[in-house]
Amino acid sequence: MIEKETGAKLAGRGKLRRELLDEACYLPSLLEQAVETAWLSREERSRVEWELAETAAAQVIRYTKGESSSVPIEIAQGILYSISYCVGLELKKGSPEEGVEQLRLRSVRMLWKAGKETARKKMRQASLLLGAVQQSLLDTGHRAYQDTIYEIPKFFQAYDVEFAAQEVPCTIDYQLSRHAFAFAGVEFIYRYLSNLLLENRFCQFFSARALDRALRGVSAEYEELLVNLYEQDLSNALGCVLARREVRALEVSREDLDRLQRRLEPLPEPALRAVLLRGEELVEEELGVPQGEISGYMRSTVADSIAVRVEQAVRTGTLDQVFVIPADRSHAPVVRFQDGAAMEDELFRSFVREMGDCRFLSDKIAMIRRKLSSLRDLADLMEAEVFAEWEWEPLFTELGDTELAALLSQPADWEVPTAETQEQPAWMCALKRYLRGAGRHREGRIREIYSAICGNDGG
Amino acid sequence: MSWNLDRVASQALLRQSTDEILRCNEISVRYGLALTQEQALELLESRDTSLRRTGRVEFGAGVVDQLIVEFCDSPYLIQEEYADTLQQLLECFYYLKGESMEAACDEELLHLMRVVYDVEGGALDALHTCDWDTLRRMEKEQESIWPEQEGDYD
Repeated sequence: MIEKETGAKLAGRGKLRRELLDEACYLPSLLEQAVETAWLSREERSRVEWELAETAAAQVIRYTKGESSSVPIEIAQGILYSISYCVGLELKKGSPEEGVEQLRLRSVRMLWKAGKETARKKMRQASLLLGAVQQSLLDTGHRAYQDTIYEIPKFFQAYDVEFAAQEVPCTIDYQLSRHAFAFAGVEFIYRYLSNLLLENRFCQFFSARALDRALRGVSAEYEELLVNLYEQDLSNALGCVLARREVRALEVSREDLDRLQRRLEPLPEPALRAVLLRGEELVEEELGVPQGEISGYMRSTVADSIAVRVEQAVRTGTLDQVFVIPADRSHAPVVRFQDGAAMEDELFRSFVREMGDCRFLSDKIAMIRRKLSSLRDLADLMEAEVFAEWEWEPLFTELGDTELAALLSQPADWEVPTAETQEQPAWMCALKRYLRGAGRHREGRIREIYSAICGNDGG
Repeated sequence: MSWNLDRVASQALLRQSTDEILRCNEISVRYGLALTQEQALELLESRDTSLRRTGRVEFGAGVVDQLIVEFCDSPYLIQEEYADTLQQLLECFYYLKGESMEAACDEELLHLMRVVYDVEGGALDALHTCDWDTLRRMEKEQESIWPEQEGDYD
């Protein structure tokens, strides 16, 4: 269709620039640019806006179930943006020129319907990404990271492609190295999860301890800061390569940094940048990062962010702000937990049957207090499904901090509990939910005891 | 980049013409009430002002004709004040719509307004100042006083 246009008509047109179009508000920005560059006439834009208003009017009636002819401006605005967002998703499948052509050939209603299908498909893809992210979770107590991992599944329950397709109905606290703020709705969550997965995958090249030490170099309480874990790990890995240290240890010393300062200081900016980019290649080689998305992500992180920070740090003599000197956790509590004697198998089976016959939670708790002396047995009891799901929270309330921390560490062969994973039993997920709701200080205390138990007892 | 909601919405708003409002005269005239072409136009303009003032937007046919049908048989409406009263009732309607936190559908709200309007003997002060809960309470009081529908005795 575009090829069929006459040369005279094309000659008057300017160029449509994809990079100037707004990702979150694609349709209005495309209309504006298309009119400015003579790809669309003002009348054609009015026709699109008329159809948009018609579609929005029909949606408002659906929204109010036909019971109200007017709505607050915010709701109308939201519905209008929702339709416009879905149309934009459909138009983005091709170039801006093809998008303009689609606006000529198809009605807004048709584009909206197709866009909603695209959004649903994107959501299914994002859901798969979430599964992959949950499989690659980092062993960290970083609060924003954990809270965000806990929050994201809510997106898939609450996302409303009909009336609020442009919204992100969950709280995202954890800041990625390459953020996705330019996007909205399901595109945002898709981009966010894609990038988070790449960041997780990179961090998995290092041990949990090395990551923790490097980040503790940023702050003794880095868990409470909005620091990006991946970028700091990559910075330190780069520092290690430049200082000829073992990359996986993520460890640079004060002497290393002094030496680096002396070597980097005389370099002009392009040469310094070249050194850093070569260093990034060496990090890839040393870790055995396959060529692909992760390596591409690493390269752009160094080029766009770390290089800028290093250039500034070299000028100000603050390289230790970029390549941090790792630190150990200080004042770690010394906790030694000794579990009570476990029941004999036959006795335990009989106890489970007896518990199963109990109708009231108070009776179950009383029996546990009376007869159970091992938390290992309590964990087995949870798995025996003698508790209804709603009974878990009141049961956890009965336990003290040390008991909860010990329960968290049962059994030793599970992953360190940072967030729910599908492999973990339902009661463990419920316990973690309970801890998150127990308040920041109590959760922090219990996690400290938990870490101490695992550290001292080897799990 | 954002939509000019006024411009986009106005395209749908323009559909409600004075003709549609004037068609309501066929019903209201039975009660001695009618709007002129000029008054119908003023009512539409006043509707736009009320919507802006109450932070609302209206797509499609709108509520003006429903308002006329709901109120035209009130004994407290007189031809001399008809157009002006409709404008004020429209303002009250959008205000109370927001007050109800969108809990009231158009039909229900118009009915409640009519009850209060008649209880107050055609005075609009109560509608201008009361909130959604008061409106509901006043309707319930009326129901307790007049439990039976008029038609039950027919």
